Amino acid sequence: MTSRYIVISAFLTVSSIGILLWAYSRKNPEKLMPTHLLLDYLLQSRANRVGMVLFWWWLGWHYLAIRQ
Amino acid sequence: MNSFVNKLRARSSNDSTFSPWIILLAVIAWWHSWRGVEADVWIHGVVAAILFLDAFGLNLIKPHRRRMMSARSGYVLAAALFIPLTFTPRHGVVDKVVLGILAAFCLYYVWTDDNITKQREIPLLRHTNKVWWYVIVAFLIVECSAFMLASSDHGNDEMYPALSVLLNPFLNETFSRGILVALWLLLGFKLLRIPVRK
Repeated sequence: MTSRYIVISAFLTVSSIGILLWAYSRKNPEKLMPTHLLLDYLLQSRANRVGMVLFWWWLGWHYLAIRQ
Repeated sequence: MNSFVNKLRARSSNDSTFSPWIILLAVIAWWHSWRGVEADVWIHGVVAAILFLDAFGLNLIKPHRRRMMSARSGYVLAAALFIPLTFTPRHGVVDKVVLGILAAFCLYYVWTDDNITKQREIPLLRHTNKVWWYVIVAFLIVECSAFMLASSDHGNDEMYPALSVLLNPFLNETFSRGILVALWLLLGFKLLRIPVRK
């Protein structure tokens, strides 16, 4: 079962880093651009918009609609 | 060949730019082909191809002018997605139909003219972008590693659980599925720039 806990820890570590980065960018906008400003910039490009929205849509499709 | 070159030369400022997402979607399509999930290969492969052609000025789908959705329409859309995705059986026909319609809506809603301000890309933006890419790639590496280790161990996904295996118990219960669907919708509405409050 050790392998299972290693995999779960890896998921939790990366997710925590994401949450910490999000919080850090809100507190220190001069060091890391806040995510809403980053998204404002990235979503100006059609390719970025389509890529990000497809990825989001696919999560719903994968987890809710399709039996894995 | 000449017409292709002319189209490249005739790129207008409204044409899309080459985005790292094109490469990522192509890699994801390849990954799904390795997994043997044909539908996902088509979904990611076709969109990657459309964006690739679009980046070189070959607009297979003509972009339209962007119109923002009102908060009221946003609430209606949220309810129209949340209720069936939460309260109908998971993996059912309703989920497939709702998500199929959502795919068409999303493609239409985001396939608008680019509105890139000609501001200089400041180092902070580049730095932040890079940091987030590291996080995304790290997450994908963990997910892919779990899948590959499980595959090499006769499909033992209890020992090497991918994210879907970990989330399945929560998605099978209506209450926890509702919470996850709400979080997923909130993220999507942020990306689609649909107002979530008046």
